[in-house]
Amino acid sequence: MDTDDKVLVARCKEGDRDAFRRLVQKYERRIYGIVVGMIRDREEAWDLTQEVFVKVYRHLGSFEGNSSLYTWMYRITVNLCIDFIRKRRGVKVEYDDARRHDGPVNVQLPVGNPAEPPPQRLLREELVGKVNQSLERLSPKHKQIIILREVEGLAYQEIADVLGISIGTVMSRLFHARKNMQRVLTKYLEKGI
Amino acid sequence: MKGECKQIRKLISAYVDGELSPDQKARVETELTGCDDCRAEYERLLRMRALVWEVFQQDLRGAGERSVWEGVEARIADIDAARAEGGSWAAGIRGWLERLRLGLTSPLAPAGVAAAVVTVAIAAVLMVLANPDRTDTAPAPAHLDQVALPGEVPAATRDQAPEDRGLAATGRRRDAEPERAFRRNELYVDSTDVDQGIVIVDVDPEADTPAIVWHLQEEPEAGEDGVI
Repeated sequence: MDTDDKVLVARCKEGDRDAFRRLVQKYERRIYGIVVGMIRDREEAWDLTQEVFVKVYRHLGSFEGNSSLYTWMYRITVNLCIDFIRKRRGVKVEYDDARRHDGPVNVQLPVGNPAEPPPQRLLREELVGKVNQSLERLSPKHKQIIILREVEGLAYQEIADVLGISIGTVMSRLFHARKNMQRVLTKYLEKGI
Repeated sequence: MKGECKQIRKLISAYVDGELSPDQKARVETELTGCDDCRAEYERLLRMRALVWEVFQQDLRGAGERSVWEGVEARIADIDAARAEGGSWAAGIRGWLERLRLGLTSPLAPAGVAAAVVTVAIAAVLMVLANPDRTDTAPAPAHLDQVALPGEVPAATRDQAPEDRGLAATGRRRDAEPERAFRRNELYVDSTDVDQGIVIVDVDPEADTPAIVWHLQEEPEAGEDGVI
């Protein structure tokens, strides 16, 4: 485990609130990135990120440092995200045309560049909506690996360590995750779009 | 699609990530130079990565302007306050014993706790029996010497995420089959360091992931004659 993390964890276990604040501030952006990548909803992601750290706080006493702090927190994060997604699936949402065309209502589409001419901007927004949709459709395992690679920028060995799988599996899982996304995005990935 | 193309396409994803060995990299580059279809596939993948990256950047926009700490701080202050008040089952039982001593409560109240213990034990046995096909089993806590002492976490499950730990202790690693594991675990069981022989059962109101965590009591020490 990172020496700095070791010190912080030890201090947290002694009840040092300031050490925990530093730990939160060190990892909040990374955790938020994973959460928002998984659940595709920026506002909910803030709440869930807080929840991750509350859970970390409650269970830090049982963390012994046999794995890296990040790996441990990552697993808590992904478990909470899977819970959230599962609960959200159970919530009935009124039928809405926007939902049918652009994916979940809560996904916030970027406004695009106002300087772009309207047709290009609309196409871009549609495209980003489709990317969201393709991410939304991935299984949690595929979503995780895309996030670790594209958001976290982890090397294959690091991904293998975090997920507890072999490099061969990382390679194959990424290949299949990307293939699944490509299926949704086929027509948008041709030249000139 | 040619056989070589098929093989190369599986490598293109790792190629764009810069994760191939020099030999594999050379093979891919030769193919990309000579095969228009593989080249097109490579370009599609590059475009998709660029789009995904852009979407994730949008997700993170503004993330630096907000801090989660304030919200976290308020919530952990509540946890600390509850801990400070001794809001545990141990404190509850000690309080009940004290009230009983003072004649302020009924001696039948522990029957509820006992019933809950039995219910959870039966539920655990049923869960184990209902999953004969599982291959990722950890030993079920059939004997007290196989489980953690009060307040300890079983050695085999240390440093797992808290939810994983609970499920591992009941014989199933959550990351193996998350959906099934969820459905089968609806109780949160905890123990505490009260006097020997008491197992505390708790439905944790704060846990969003209900889980079963077996922290059973330490077996009472035998006397010199071997009698407990």
